[in-house]
Amino acid sequence: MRWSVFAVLAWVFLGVELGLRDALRLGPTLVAPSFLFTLAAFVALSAPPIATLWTCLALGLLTDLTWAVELRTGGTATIVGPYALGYLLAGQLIVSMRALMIRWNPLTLGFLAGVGSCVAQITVVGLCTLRAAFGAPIVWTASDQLAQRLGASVYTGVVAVLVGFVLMPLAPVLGLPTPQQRRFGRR
Amino acid sequence: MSRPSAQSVQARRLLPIAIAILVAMSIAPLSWLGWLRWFSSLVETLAVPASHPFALVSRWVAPARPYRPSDDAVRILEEELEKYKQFYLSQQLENERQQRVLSELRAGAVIVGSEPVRQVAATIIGSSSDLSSSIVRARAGTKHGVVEGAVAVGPGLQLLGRVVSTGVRMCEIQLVTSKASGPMRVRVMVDEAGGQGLDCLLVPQGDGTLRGPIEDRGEAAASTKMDVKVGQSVRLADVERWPRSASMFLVGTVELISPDPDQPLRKVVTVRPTLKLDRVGEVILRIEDDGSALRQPGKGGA
Repeated sequence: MRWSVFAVLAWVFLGVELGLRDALRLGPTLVAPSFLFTLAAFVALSAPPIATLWTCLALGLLTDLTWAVELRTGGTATIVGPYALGYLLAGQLIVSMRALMIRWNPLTLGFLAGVGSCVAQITVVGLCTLRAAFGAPIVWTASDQLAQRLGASVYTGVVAVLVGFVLMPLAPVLGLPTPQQRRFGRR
Repeated sequence: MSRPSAQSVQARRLLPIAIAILVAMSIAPLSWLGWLRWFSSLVETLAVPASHPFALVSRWVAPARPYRPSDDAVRILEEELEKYKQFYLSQQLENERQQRVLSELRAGAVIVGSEPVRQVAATIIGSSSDLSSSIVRARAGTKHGVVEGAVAVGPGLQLLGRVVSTGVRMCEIQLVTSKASGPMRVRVMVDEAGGQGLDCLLVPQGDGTLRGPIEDRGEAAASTKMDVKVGQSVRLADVERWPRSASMFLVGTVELISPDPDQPLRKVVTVRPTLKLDRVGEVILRIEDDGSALRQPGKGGA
């Protein structure tokens, strides 16, 4: 995998996440697609397992660092961990499932991004609920958050199908194995 | 079968350590994580050149105001009108306050004088990566004199929120519709020209609206005909939690009036801002020179 190309792509996707995501949300809910997770799912679809896990960890870390967690006492805090671990678990899930899938199909990316995002969001809700239960002054209602985040996961899956058409031609540039290379490798 | 490279072996070995650190950090107390703010600011600063063009596109596709006057002159006149309305009403509120202060002065209380206000225009460059947080980021920071507690105002002098965190070149604004922003005392303007209204304590609902009961007016006020109607404007009248210079800024309009479930004779109003606050592209940050952070309900712990 070409890490320099990946870094540029991650920077662009972070820009899309921060700049465009709230415009795509459904009304005043949290239901909005995640572009960074779509990138993580795309890498997880074909990169070597260890590279996949580090990629997911890095993208999760970026999400954590740009999440301004609101506090009941006013102000915001930065918490590192929930998204990084959530993306990591989701990456592991996609690595386990990808052997059963037709990898080079945008529908596969959409499905795996949706399922993986569910896992990531459940991890985020679990960790934040744990933190809130131990008295951290974060603004958090677990049931509301879980329902809306699962909705956002479905939305991420749908958008990932469309983003897949953009990402799949970029696979050779990213240094990810393409179907042609795999066939050639087997011979 | 090819042997894994030394780099790959190292990456495999480091992964459990990274996971252990992340687990520890995700459950560590917030007071231990304050140092992460520096990394967060760094990432946000690096992301700005990428996020700003997308933010511009998104605000063009879904603007803050569903209705936009086609004529610029009309828009300018509307904003001027709103400006004078706010000035007139805030002076009226200030008169009321001064009358109260005078009566307190007779009893030996201390007067706090009004302070000048500086205004800084800032562009909204993005939001939080997680939408559970009603935070928007503006391109103005301590370098431009922005302090925590500064009041953010959108087009048409619509109250947007308050600065809750500042970096060198950017700041974070918590929207008034955020659950975390806490309750605010407002006045429902029954007779705007006469400056007459009913007080109300609004609580953000987390769905873009604020809700609260109309307060008991007392017998003298109840004898006058003051009825709340849908569409009436609602203005900030909370000198305890907000800087005095923000008084009578527009919070929104009454969207719904319903009976209080606990006290059916009392009315509960639902108020919605006149703009989609998270879609605003430009804001004015109003900074009291005494440091308006003093009136914040509390400061961020991390």
